[in-house]
Amino acid sequence: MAQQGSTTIAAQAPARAGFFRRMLDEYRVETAMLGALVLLCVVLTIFAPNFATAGNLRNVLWQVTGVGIIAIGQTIVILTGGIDLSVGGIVAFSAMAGGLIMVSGDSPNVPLGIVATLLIGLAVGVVNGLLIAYGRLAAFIVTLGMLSITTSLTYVISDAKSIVDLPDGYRVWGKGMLGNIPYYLLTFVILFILGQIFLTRTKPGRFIYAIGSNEEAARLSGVNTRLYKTLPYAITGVLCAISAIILSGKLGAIDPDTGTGFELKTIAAVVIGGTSLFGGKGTMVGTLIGVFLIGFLNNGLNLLKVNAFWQGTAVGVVIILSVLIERLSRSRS
Amino acid sequence: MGDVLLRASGITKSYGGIHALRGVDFEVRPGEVHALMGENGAGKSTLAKILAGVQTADAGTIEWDGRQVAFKDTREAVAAGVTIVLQELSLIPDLSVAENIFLTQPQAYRGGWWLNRPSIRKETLKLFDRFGWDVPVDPDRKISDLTVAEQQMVEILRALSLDARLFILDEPTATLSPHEVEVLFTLIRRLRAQGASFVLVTHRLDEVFALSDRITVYRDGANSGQFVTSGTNQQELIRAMVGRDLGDMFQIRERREPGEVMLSVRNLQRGRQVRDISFEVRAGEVVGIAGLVGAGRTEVIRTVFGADKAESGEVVMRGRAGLISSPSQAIDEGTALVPEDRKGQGLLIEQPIAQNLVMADLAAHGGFWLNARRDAQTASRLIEEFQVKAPRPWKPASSLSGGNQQKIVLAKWMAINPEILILDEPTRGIDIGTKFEIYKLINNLAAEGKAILLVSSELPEILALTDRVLVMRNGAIAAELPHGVATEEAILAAAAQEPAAMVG
Repeated sequence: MAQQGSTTIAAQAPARAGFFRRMLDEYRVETAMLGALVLLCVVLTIFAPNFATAGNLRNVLWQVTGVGIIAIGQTIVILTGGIDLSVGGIVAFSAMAGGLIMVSGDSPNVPLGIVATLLIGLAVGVVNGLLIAYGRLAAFIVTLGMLSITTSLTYVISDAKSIVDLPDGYRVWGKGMLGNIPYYLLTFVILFILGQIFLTRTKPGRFIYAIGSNEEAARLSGVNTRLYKTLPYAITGVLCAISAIILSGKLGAIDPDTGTGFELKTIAAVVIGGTSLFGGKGTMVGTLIGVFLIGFLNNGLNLLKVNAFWQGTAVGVVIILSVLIERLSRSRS
Repeated sequence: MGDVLLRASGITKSYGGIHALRGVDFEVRPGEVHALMGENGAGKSTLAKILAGVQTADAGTIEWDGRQVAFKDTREAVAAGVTIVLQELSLIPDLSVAENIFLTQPQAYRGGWWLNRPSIRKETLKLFDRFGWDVPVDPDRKISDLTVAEQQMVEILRALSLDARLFILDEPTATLSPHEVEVLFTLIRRLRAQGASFVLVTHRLDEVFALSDRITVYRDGANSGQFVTSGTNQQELIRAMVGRDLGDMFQIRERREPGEVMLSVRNLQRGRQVRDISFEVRAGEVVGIAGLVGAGRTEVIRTVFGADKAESGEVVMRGRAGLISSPSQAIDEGTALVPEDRKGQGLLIEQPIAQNLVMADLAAHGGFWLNARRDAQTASRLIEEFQVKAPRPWKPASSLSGGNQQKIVLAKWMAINPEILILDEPTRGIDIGTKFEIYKLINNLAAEGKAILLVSSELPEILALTDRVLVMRNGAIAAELPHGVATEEAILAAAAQEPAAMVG
């Protein structure tokens, strides 16, 4: 009897150890960053009395949503070995152009405005992708140029003026609630889950990792590399437009400065989440952790009444530390 | 023992709990070529790196010239007179050949600062001439514009230009064609006569017998035998490396009457490397492509596969005419390509083994969603079929030895059961055991009626496996030799006639 029992345990143990080992292998960096996030929350709960309150957490959720939605796309772009520096420009341009189309008639046409905003975001993203994948131009250069173009065009078409007095219909996405839950939060959660499923459960997701690891090997295996290099920029363009509508709706105005600096904020979140800027390595979960790590850090510094000028230093230190952690954990394995 | 230049004893090295070397010994005498052999993972490269100061041993002693030493880095080793040429190239792609060779040499700089281009150009040509490289590259060309073989020659010649007493060469001929190998061997013999010593890490038995004085064999990180070359034979070495007899690997192929035409290439044209190429491959046939480095072998098969675009000509696969303009189109027509550069083009080296195995299947079939169970089944079936030593298939492909990596590249294609196989140097840099398995695979696939196009720089391999050999020269087919007529001499003669005016 005793012998039988021990055999069963011995047979099961390696399988379970194998599972944990595999999870640790795959999510090593994410585990480390999640640990850092939990630690940060514990510290803030102790030292900042207002931190662990429903109001403050809602505040943080709102603050991370705009960047968080776009970081989903930025993750996919960076996994292919590319980068999208134009996201901030796409946010402002799609919101402004879509908004002007919305208010161009006798009375504001909300559905037209929203569809136009989304299509403009998509179009800019597709142009980025085509130039990079079919024109074989460097992603860094193309999207840097596109950032400049979209930012400038936003001021051209708006004459640097905000669109105020937005119709209530337009503002629902940014302000509305489903019961107790704001629509923007639902949007973020759903888009994140879709992004996670896209990367882990679909063929295009798998090909995006393949292209990021070795584009030529992927092409020689029969992958349509140009199509799957274009796709991530298109997705990111749409996500920029969604983020733009939510941000403008909540604010109550379409401002030509919306989205300024989003390129570096999204890239920071992706990098902190353990995604390699060389492509092929990283996860959506990591990016989510990165988004919240930055969010809680900024919020915590606020609550602790640290001068806001220090926030950039804190985020910068975390970026460098996270890359250091990744390097150390890799060299140990 | 005054006649020992270098003696290593009891060298032990482990990486994260895995023993790469377990107390191995090695010695080199002055003016000796000492071959270091063993299967992949036997620890040859690890020992070479320890001797040259690239890595340090966990335990054991190294005596150099009678004194005990422990080189901390390659600079210390070079200062003592030990130089290594690693398998991985260490040239700077965007600098010229001459700049790479003289990068760290004081004579390249006028007044200590200013690059003296005319002088290093002349010095480089002098160096090539002195070393007997008869078709050298232009010293002003960028490294990235050279073929892999030319880069390898530059790398080796740069190392040999250093005044060292011991040269360690790790698989120096892996990317060279027979002609360059001959140039290199002549050079090694000349330097040996002048008193220099060599450690030659290699898989190739023919090279070991052609060049070495003594042979040390490791197996699984331990000593497995030391031989005087003139007193041993292939069978004995294989037994020491593999631990058993393999039989005659060059007698594996069973030839039979070929079937219908599967692949037909007509007047294919692309630049200077692919000039008016026409040939056919039939079902059950293995057609070899031989030629010097730079003759256009790889360029031809890449153009056939659609990896590079043809300027004109026609490629007909399985009787269906059509221009192949992308690899995915060739794959749709039942064709697979195993590229020569395993890490650069064959594998997603940092992605899991299992994902590498299902890549071709995934690209060829399947809809939007991944089918995790089907993929896992495909991967484990292929791992078993090809006897890949991959206990943890979710680990990256880089965790495997070279031979097992090559099995992954081959196995990946077997998942979609191609009718036409194009193999570019399929056995380069892999151990004897795996090589033998790949030979068996090629024979079995041909017996099943597949059409196979085999590019190889190893003439014994070409002769043993093929029904016909196409010999390329300067981007064109110079001769077609059927089995029986093809000999090493005939191939080399056809490949080297009217030596290329310009190498490219």
